[in-house]
Amino acid sequence: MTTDSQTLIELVRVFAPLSLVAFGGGPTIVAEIERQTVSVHGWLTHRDFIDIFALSRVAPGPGILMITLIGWKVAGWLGAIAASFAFYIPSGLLVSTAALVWRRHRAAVWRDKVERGLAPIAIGLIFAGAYSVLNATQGGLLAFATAAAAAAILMWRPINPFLLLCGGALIYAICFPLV
Amino acid sequence: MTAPAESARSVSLRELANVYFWIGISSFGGGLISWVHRETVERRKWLRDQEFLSGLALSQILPGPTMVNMTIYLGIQLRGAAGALASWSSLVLPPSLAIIAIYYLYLQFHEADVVHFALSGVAATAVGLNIATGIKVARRSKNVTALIIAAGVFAAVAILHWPMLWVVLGAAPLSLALAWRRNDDG
Repeated sequence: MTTDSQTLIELVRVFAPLSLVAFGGGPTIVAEIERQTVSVHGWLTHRDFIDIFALSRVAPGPGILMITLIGWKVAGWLGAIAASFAFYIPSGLLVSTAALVWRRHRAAVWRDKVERGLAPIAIGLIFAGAYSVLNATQGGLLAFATAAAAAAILMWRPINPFLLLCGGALIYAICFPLV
Repeated sequence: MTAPAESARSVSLRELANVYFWIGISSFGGGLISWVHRETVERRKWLRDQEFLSGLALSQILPGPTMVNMTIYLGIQLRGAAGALASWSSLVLPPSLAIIAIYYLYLQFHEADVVHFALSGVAATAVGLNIATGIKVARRSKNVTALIIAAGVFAAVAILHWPMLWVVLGAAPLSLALAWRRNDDG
């Protein structure tokens, strides 16, 4: 087996299981993506990870496209396809099946309970993702302060997130000569 | 595949693809769900509000990105499997190509430290946006057990670096069982 197909298989092995435990969507799996791509497989440096994470936030489309970009960076076009499909197909099939069943159980009582049961896990994972990205930025106090300010502003006003992201880039660019 | 009676609003695949193409390619920084609501419920009346919310709840419960799940759900409701495929590919493929193009551009400049530094600023801000989401969800679950489980999951993944797969597979049944036993509204 060539190294290339080995890498593609590794990409699928990383992202397919993630697809099925990403309860709460993209933000919940950031910590695991960082762990797998930087620490476990050594595909990315911390710097690569931060740059890819940030680029996927300012690019159009769902934030989860960072997986496509990681695949592309690791193994070119085939890598992008392998990583993307590994991530999209399992949960996609699940939601397709559920969409058909859902009609018949529209007012199901358990829906509320499932939602309530999974919420704590999503919360824990979202904060874990936040923590691992902040650690990876190695921006220290500035990174924590920026994140806290962005969270506070967003909770205070329903401002366009894209403007906030640009503001974050600007503040850092201004602070850059100081470091 | 038969469309459900209440959603049979003769939506063409081309229309579906068109709507999702624009949502995908011109949405920046998240917040796509409210846009989908505007396009499908308010403007085009493809769905009733209740149907939309029910689909959103399902998309949030199931694993996977909420927006992508919601796209597949709406595609199926409106035009079956072909609808799901048309809307999903229009949402995801053009931005996938765009992000790779953006990465090419980035590669021309990535050695400049100021570029990485500015991107760190974006990353830190994006983390803030995620934290705001986390706080909003946490506010809704007001009981102590839920917060203890959340803290446990956080510690296992962020501090102990345990694989997320096992953490979720371990914590989910416990958390679900507790939610099942609690019949109050807490």
